[in-house]
Amino acid sequence: MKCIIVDDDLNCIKALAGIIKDYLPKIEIVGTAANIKEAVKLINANHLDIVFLDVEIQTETGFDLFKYISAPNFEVIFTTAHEKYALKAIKSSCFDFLLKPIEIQELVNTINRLEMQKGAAADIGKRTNVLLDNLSSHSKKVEKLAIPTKDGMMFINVKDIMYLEGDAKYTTLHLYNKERYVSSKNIGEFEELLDAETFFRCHRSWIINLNSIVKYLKNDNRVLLSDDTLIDVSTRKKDEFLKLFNRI
Amino acid sequence: MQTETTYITRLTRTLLLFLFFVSITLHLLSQSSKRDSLKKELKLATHDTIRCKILSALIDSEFDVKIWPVYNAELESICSDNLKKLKEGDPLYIFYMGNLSSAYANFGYLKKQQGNIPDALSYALKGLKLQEKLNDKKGKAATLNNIGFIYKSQEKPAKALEYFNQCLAIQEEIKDKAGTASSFNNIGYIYHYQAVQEKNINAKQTLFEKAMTFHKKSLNVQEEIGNKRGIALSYYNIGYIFLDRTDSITASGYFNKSLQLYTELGDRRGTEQTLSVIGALQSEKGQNELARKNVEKALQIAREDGIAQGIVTASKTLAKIYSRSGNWKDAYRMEVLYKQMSDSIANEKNQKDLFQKSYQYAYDKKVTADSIRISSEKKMSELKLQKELAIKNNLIIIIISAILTLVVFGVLLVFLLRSNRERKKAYQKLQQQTELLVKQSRQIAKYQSQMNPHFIFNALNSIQGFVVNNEKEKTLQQLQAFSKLMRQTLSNSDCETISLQTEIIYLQLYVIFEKERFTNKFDFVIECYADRNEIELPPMLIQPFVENALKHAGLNDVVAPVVKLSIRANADLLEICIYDNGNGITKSKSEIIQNSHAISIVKSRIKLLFENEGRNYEENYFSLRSVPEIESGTEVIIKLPLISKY
Repeated sequence: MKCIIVDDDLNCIKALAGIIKDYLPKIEIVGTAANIKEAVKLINANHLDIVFLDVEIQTETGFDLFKYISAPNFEVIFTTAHEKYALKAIKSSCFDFLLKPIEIQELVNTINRLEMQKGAAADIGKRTNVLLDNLSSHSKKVEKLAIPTKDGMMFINVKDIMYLEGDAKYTTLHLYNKERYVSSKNIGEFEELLDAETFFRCHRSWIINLNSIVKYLKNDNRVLLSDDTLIDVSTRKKDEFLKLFNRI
Repeated sequence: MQTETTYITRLTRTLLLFLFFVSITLHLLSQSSKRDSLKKELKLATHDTIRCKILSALIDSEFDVKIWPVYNAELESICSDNLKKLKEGDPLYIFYMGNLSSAYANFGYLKKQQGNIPDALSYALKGLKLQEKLNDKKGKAATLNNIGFIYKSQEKPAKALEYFNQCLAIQEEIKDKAGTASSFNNIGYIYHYQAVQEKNINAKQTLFEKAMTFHKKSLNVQEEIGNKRGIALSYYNIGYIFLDRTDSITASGYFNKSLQLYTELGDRRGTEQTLSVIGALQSEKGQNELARKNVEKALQIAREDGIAQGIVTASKTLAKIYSRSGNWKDAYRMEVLYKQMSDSIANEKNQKDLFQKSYQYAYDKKVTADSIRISSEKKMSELKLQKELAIKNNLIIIIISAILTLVVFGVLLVFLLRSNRERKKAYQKLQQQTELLVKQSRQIAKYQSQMNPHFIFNALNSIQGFVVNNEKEKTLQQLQAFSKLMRQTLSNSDCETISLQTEIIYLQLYVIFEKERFTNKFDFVIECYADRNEIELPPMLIQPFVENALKHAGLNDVVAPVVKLSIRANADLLEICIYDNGNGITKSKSEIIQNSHAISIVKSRIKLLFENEGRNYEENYFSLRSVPEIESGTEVIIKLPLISKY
């Protein structure tokens, strides 16, 4: 496997390169770049499998790479120290990321998973679009989601989701058009990604799109959605829910 | 006796006020009759050209949107009636066309204000046709510009662009420099808007470039004609393009230039806007002090001049700045201001809708009334009869309005008294809430930060030890554990409560890290009889006791050392027990610890937790026991209110 490392901090490059040499000898580092321009040169000159891409590169961001490479044919693993919204966008588009300082086991797991999934890279163009859409979202809200399902990656608009149903480690997404997708992410991960003004975790196993509510049934503390589904609001969440509900 | 006199004084005051209201009503009535007579005069004016002139003058001088459209309607009908009769060559033909086109422009303006876009557009297009016939280029440019703005407000940038460009072509033809500059600006603004919306990165860049070109063109013309206000606006707009292209450094440069000009000009609105955006940029860069000064200045201007949107933006930014510097009280004050202002803007919008409806109603009514009166005038030709009728009508109107005034006055009085009382109550409540919140947030911030600093430096120090000893593996392992711990600490500190699961993982991380530091051989056992995912507790409450056990229990001296954390849900309490089988603490020491600062902090945190849940704190919710009270070691028991997330 061939890779390059893009980072403006030389020490970060050294650290990651050192770990790769020691723990992942199957990966060959064909070059390193301190900015996007150098990275583009390396990408065009080599047939790469992986690009380790720093998110914060001085005046640029790692995402600027896609200005020059519109159809990537390599996997991207983002590296970042701490950036909340960028992480949200990365997670929503199912890209891999590593937090700095790099944890060896996490790096090894990520590489192994990528190797197993070979072929999933066909989605990379679509995932890149989701990533860029969410990053350019004016409201800083996640607007699109890439969802890993058993049939492969699905791409949906967040506003098409009516509600989400959590079941241990799986989450079923119910769309307005009656389609359903089962994702291997748990419901908590979705709660983190979705915009809290529109999506409300009203119960341990439910997240509802507030726009889909038709009626609130006060007596049994449930909501009626536009497709006649009845969903429980837990007692702890009742006050918070009513506050939101009154705002609509 | 005293109560009686106060009652009488109050009665007199009420009577006086009543008389005052009646006199105002009479005054208004006399004014309205004056206006009526003026209208009659207008109707008596035989020549339509004179009527047109009077009407135009009336429209120009009347600002009440309930009144001028009525004149405008008359103007429109006179002009179109006459145009039907006249031939194109007639000198009066041009006169009526000109008047009709301004009547259309007026209606177009009105419809846009009311949000009736289709009608606004159709009036503008009608006006445009007339202006074309009249070859009125300046008027045409103005109408094209208006249509551009209508499409802009409808978020149809392509259409807006089309009209702004047509407008620009005419302005260039007639060498209207000021107009050209403003069209460049409008076009630049549209490209900027499109760039922000555009998803494709290459197309986005091209649009930003275009926007930049037009704003720079505008800037050149403004400089040429020496319009400082225009130059300042261009700087501001160019700054915003750089800001949206995430080049905040260049953006600041332009904003500063703009600010300088606006200050020179004494343009308060411009100054307010630029200060606000400069402050927000500085705050993002972490220049808190500079940011605070600028945004405070912006807020002051916005408040003095009543710029609602300015207050909203500035208060939001200030809330962030204050909270970052730990000034919770002002942060809360700003948060309240922000909420109030954004609410009132929303209300104002609602009121506008309401007003538009009532306006429409009043307008329809007036038109009908006018037409009825016209027909009745035809029937009754005698002026005397009319006058008598008018007096009768006036009498009825006076009586009705007197009654109305009385009712309104009474309602107003009750309302004022009541709202005053309510406002006072609300104010007191808000103040109490603020104080409580400030107190609580200060305390919480204090509690949570107190454990961190010495731990951070000790940890770094111990990692340094591994580096010096050339222990690469250990260094990497400890560094990773440390960063994980810090990340978790940071994210926990954002939360009032975290899940039991998160807390347990955090403590495990902590113990693994510390074990490596002290090369201790103890076992860390966790027993949990509670739903880890559902139950919530405040962060950093258990950790100090675990830390204490690791450092001070003397675990190295005992056989099979153990630190045990048991957690169980018991009725409405969450019971947490931290036990170690170390040396325990001597009684004198335990007395010191009982009174120690750290423990009093934990106690008040627990107390606060119960208060927030509306429950009472009992003394036995915290206990610390050691030998000889228990067989061996030390045991801390904490009882928290059982809080479930769902």
